[in-house]
Amino acid sequence: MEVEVLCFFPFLRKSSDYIKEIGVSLDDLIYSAAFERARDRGCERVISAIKTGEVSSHHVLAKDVDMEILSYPFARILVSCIGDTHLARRYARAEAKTAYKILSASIADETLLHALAEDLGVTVLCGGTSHTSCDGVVGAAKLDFGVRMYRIHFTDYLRLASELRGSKWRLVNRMLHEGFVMVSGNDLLQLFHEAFYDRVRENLPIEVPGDICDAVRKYTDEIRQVLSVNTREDRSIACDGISQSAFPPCISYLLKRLMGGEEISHSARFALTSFLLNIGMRTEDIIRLYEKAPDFDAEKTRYQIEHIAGSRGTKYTAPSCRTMRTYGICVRENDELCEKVAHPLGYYALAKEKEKSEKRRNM
Amino acid sequence: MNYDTVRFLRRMFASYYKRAGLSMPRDFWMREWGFIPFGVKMMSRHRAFRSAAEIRSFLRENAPAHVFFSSAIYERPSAANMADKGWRGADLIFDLDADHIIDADHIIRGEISYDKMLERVKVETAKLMDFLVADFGIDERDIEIVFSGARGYHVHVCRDDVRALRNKERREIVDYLSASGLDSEFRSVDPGIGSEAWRHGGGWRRRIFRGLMDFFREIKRMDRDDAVKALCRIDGVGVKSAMKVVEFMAKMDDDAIEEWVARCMLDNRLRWIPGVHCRLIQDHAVSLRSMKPDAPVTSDIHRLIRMPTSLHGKTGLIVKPLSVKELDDFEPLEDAVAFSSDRTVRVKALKRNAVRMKGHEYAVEDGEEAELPVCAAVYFMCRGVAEICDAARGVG
Repeated sequence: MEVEVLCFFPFLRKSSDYIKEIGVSLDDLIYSAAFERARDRGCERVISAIKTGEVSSHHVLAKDVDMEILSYPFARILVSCIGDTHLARRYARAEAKTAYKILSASIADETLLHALAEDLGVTVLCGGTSHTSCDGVVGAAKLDFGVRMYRIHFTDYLRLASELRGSKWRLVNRMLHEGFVMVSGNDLLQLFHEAFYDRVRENLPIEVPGDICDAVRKYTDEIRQVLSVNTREDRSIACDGISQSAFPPCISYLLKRLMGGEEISHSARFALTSFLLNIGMRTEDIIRLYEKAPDFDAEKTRYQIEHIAGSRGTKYTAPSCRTMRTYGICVRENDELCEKVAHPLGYYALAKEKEKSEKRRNM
Repeated sequence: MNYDTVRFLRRMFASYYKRAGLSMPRDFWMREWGFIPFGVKMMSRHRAFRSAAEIRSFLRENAPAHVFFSSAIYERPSAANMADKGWRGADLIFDLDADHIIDADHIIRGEISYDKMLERVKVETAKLMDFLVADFGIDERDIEIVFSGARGYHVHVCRDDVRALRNKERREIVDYLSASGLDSEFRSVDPGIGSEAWRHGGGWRRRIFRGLMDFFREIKRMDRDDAVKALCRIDGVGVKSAMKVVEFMAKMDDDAIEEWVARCMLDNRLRWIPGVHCRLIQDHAVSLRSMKPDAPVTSDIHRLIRMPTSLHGKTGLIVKPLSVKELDDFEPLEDAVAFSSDRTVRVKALKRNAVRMKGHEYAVEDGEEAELPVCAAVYFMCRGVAEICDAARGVG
């Protein structure tokens, strides 16, 4: 693979081989003035991942190719020194998404596809059947990439599709023959997206010696600051008349996990959404909360929230404490208000009342 | 089971372990081992062995009733805590047990004989083999079929590329085998996979196609009344519509039927044979070809599995490895019997029971004392329906 191409997929084994080849050591990368641009770009990768969810792929000049490749291991060091798994996940998602976009744009390139597959340890064969050949030529016509057929080994398919939603990704709905699953070009792209994510996420955060983390403090401080600004924005629910400090512990906990980009169960989503709707939060604002969820789909989320809000006739009330316990999402820990109520909404009303009277007293 | 019986069985099992050629699983030193001794209900787990000789001498000396090892391989197999073991991968193992395949009530009420029961399990095992070879592309040489020693078969797939599969991914395989979650209209499948691809492409679409073809050919071959009866056995099909289907089929030859079924499936639309929902027949085809939903309990990546070539403590039969070819002719009560039918021993029956072993019928009545060949005596004692008399005499 050309180095100009490698720099768009810096997480490949071939990329780290390349770094070894050009003889840049870890010390060089951390301390040498010659690699300051690689360090700056590495820091930019992480910050851009936090802010935009991508690592801002820009046009890389030929002379900058090495710096671009080197910026990736440096970014990993930064993420690891911060040591926050939410950040690691967020960063990996951004790298995967960026590489996915680049691959989608240069998709006609079968050689690239197979080189990627080999590097990622995925067995891909071209042509679904004898009808199609590798370059997608059927008779005299050349097929668009999206409808070209590929075959991927079932063990690779299961590994990569395991996080993908929707019945079309279920193995049972796939054509499986002699160990290979048939996929279209578009499907294959999505599977590569997953493979990119897995590769970036691999071993992240890595263990980094303390002196290296000290040496890169300038960068990690900057990232921490961006992180705190962005997370604070996320964590506050700006809404008139809603007091987040009066939320019961169970709801606060679910919210925190959701904001952290964690996946929460269906029953947890229902509990959270119905609670927020019940206390008067608007659908738009609730959708925004779910944006951080790993499998966010705006349309689906809107539909589900509207459904709970009563678009189909039934307006749902948040589950009671007892039901929350059954769901296994009650987190009561010696909370004295919890002792007094049997419903998260009761807790909220009581806590809000208390807040108000305290405010009055302080005036 | 009284103490004399325990001692007798232990001696018999030890004698088996002295003479038998035991087969060791691949990477046995990285597996967790578990044993249940005679007369005890608790399993002693988390054991590990460094050499095959160590395992052999352990079995000879302790002669446990049941011997298991983990389907998984671990870095530290003897760690007492699962989290500390360091999971490195697990074989893909399917457990086809009569309990899952046949309605349990039939078994409990004794409405189905042991032979019949095993016959049914064998059919399911053959189905599984077809899935593994044709769909999953697994070489027969990488598949080991093992008679469980009681009421089923275990199918071991020993290949490096399946070892890394996680729970969730194994669940997908189970769902594939049982057609669970199957979108039988294939609405969700990428339209790119149109045209004729599915006829050669495998998967459930091809299975359904073959199933429908077999079904209609069969219907055509039958005389009118039988055909109507066969159709009526499908849920939701009445006599009137069944008759319409038979008429419809009568007008077509095999090629025409094939074309018609292919067109039906290609459209991804529900077509009506005048009167009958094609979907019903399709569902029927699926149910014939799929495996029982709970049959293969494969997704637990920490489970323990019975050691092939060991003895099953509830029957005294050998947990016998078989090649794919051997499966067809395998008769558990002939071929998996570990003990002699020449020498005899005296037992006292606690309950009425019978077994057909090595071509002979052996039966005991409640409270009866009987002189039985060792193989049958061991079987009854293991089942808990007899105790040894005259322990001192031992095997005559």
